[in-house]
Amino acid sequence: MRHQRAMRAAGAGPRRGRRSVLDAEMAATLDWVLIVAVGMIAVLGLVMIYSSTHTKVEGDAFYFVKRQGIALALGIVVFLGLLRIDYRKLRDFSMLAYILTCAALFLVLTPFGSNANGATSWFALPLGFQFQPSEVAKFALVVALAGYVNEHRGDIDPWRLTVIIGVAMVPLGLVQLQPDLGTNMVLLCIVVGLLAVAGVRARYLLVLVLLGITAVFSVLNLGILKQYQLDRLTVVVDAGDKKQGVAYNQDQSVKSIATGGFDGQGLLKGPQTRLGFVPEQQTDFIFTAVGEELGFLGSSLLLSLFAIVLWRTWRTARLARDFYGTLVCSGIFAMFAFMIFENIGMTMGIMPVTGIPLPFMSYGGSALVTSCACVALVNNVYMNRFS
Amino acid sequence: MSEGNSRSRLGVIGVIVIVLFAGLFVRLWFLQVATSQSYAAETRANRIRVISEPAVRGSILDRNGKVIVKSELVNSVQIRRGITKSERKRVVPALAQVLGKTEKFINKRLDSVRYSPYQPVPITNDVPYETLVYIKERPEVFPRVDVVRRSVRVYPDGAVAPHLLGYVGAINAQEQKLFKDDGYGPEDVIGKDGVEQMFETELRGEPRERKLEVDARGRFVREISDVPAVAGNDVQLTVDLDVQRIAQESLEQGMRAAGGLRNPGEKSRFETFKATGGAAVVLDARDGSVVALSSAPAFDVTKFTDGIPAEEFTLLTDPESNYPLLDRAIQGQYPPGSTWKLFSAQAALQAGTVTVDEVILDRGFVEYGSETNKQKFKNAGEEPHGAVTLPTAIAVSSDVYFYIQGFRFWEAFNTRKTEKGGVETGYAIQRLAREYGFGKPTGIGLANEQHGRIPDQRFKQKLNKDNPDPATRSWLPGDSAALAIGQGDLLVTPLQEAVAYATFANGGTRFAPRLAERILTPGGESILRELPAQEVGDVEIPPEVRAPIMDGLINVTKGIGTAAAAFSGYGGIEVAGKTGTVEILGKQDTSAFAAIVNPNPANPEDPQYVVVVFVEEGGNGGSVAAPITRRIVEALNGNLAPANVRLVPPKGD
Repeated sequence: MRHQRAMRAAGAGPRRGRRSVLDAEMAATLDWVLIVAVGMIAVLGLVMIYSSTHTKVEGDAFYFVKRQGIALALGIVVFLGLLRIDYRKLRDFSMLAYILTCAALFLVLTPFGSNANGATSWFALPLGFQFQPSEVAKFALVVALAGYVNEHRGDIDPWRLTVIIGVAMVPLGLVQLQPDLGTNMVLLCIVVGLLAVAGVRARYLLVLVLLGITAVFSVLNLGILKQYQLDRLTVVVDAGDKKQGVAYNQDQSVKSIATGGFDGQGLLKGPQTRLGFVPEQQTDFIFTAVGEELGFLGSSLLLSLFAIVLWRTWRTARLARDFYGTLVCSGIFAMFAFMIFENIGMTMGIMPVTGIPLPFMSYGGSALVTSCACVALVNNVYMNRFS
Repeated sequence: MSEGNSRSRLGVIGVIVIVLFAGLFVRLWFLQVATSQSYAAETRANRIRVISEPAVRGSILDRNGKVIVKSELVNSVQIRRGITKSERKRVVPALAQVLGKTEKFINKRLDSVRYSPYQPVPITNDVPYETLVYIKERPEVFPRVDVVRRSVRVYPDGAVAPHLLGYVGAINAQEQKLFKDDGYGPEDVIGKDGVEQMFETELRGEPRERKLEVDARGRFVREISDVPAVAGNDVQLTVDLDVQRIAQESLEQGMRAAGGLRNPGEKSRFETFKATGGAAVVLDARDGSVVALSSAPAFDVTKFTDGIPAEEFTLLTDPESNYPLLDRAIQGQYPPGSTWKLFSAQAALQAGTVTVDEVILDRGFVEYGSETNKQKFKNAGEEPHGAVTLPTAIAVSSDVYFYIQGFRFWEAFNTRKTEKGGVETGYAIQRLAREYGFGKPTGIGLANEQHGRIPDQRFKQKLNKDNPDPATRSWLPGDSAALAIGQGDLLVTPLQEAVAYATFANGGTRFAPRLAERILTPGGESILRELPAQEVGDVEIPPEVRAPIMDGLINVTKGIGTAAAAFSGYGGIEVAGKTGTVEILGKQDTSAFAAIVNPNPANPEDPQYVVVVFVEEGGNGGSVAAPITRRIVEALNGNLAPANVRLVPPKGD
């Protein structure tokens, strides 16, 4: 049985060039549960972006939706493209992906990059599109770190650990210069998740976590962060003046979700969403629109869909044919898990406010395409689990 | 590193993530199901703005239906919100020129937080028609400037009863807090003081209430509801506008005239009376209706219609102006002096300490006390009245007669003598005074009515509790004597005095002073509600007690009486009364007079009035307060010509 499947997969190899975009044979091997869950989330994302933005641009209710739709289309192209390349080949591009990403992260800090909200984090593209290299950095870091760790599987001694941390520190440092603390927290999570699964000794991991905490503390106290970031991170610690800036944002967000009640205010009918009481709602605070308009029913459905995505990713990590596949899936799993928990937790007032998008939901092309790429990678590992 | 290790590590991470997700679910449940309700109101307040526009305020009418105060629409210039900076630069100077205001004034209004950000800012009222047309014809010069009709308070007969009516003004922070539930906004007006305050809920009507939905930046999104305004009801007072006007004029005239009288009590022959303030009260004795309620000095209530300038308000509160804002009829507290003798006489007769026929020799003074410590109590000017009985003692105002009554009460107090039923005779005057309503507000319903004061031993103990001399804490013969002639620590308001006289006059029924007869629908078309007289007490006055006292009071205005001069040549309905000349330490005498018009009506339905006049530092009761009273009584008789008060020389007290 196993042999047969393996044969079939192997046999498919030579005819690759003439295949249609997605042939039946390949379709049969995909993780459709994961794909359907992701698809549903992405469609819900479009709907909620419409709900929270349809009055924002005069004369074009679909302005944001159209742009996100284009990003989604691009994401599907990337998804399909990545399915065609065996993930094991990616190992060979680890170094290249890493270097390109670091270069992009460096360039964005130069006058080539553009500035918004006090952070220089994106390149301006034609037609008003933007490209955020820090989003792609998440994907690149997974691929690169998984490649390195896989090579030294089983003997990650303190020296190699130092190398890994050093490798990770370059993009982390560049992102910190933007500065984008949220992305860095995600990157850190990927590193820790990967190392944990790689079997790094518990005490090394502990040291690493302690180092991370020290780093966060020094970032907070040594004036490395910009004031607005500090504000964001300290509001949950003392949410005294609720009308002020970030605290106001989170306060409104929590209220919006609470207003949804059990069955929600109805699509396009949430007053907080409709009247724009939650700033940045289509991006980082998209979950508040779900909470307010679709209520507990809709929100828990969305949470369940995310749970399915995580479950399938986690499962693929276990099913992977090789250790590299396990590592890649684990990194993606850690990344998604942290982003979802941090983002939704933030909107519900139990996590500090950081600029982390909600995967597949938040308005933002770079993040959506990167997430699609990650799902493609998981699927790639999944369909090659026997070959 | 084994594969098993990796798998178990993955397992651990999976468990951690499950726990985190469970946390998200719990939080979601907590917010959306468990506590959702408490957030709903908060978010609603976020987006709903209630804009209210006041209704046309009701009118205040006199008992004959004459309008005392009404609301009238005037042309008001206002600037709409949303005026741009460049527009403002052009509009403000142009408008300042046309309206005769300074640019600073207009800018201050525009920037004032007092006005709602959703409503136009009122700049000025009462714009002449030409200006209105000028502005309306030039929208390019005056963008976003509107001339609208606005309702303001108008006094067709001028400000005749400022204290009684009160005024309408912008709501202050304290009132806003107090009446928040009644839907008052920061730009609303509210009745302050007097009838405007007392009948605020009737007069105000219901404001037009628009509920608007706004977005996060406070911009208008849509109208949710618009409830039209309901005009305020009219209030018909028991006050007779003509009598009120003459009472006010007479009071002020009499006070001015007293200012030209020499004060005989002073060494300097150049000192005249200051007459710093006064009050006149006219009640219908049959049901306690207030016919007139005046206080002087007065103020111009029309100045309050559009916010009184600060410097004028300062003037009104300056002690040099003698506190014109004080309503002395209900807030002034004076010892009633000899006008009190009515009550002392009744208390003595009913306690049995004197009989009507007992003759007391008034030699101009009386001595009281032990052989070693005798005190001399004198009449005014030590003038002897000879042998007097109770009616004569009232008519000529014999202090000696009433000192002796006081001593008898004190002796009863000292020996704890009790009447039948165990009531202390010593406090007979105080007890009777309470029955007449002294010592507490009359219940007229106006704000800040004073209590007055009835002294007794307990009062003295409280007053002097820190005094090292224990004698100051006991009730002494002198206290009883002073109380019997309405002096000492006793304090009454002119309205309390009037209520008590009315009660005596009508045979013992005490009414709460009634200010309004009825509430009418807006425009006065039909009666909404009658406001009947309210009986608040009964005083037992047997005919054999009332008759001799009333005889005495009737003789006050005749022959030998202390007010005979003031009433000489008077030919109207019979007037009984009592003068009072009140000595107040460190001040000139307070002049008082209390009159009962038609003391013994043939029919119970016949009109019967009580008039009480007090003039602070005005001198002799018969000389100043009595002539003022006479002029008011003439008005009650139908003489509505301009007041002409003629003061007379003093006689007795």
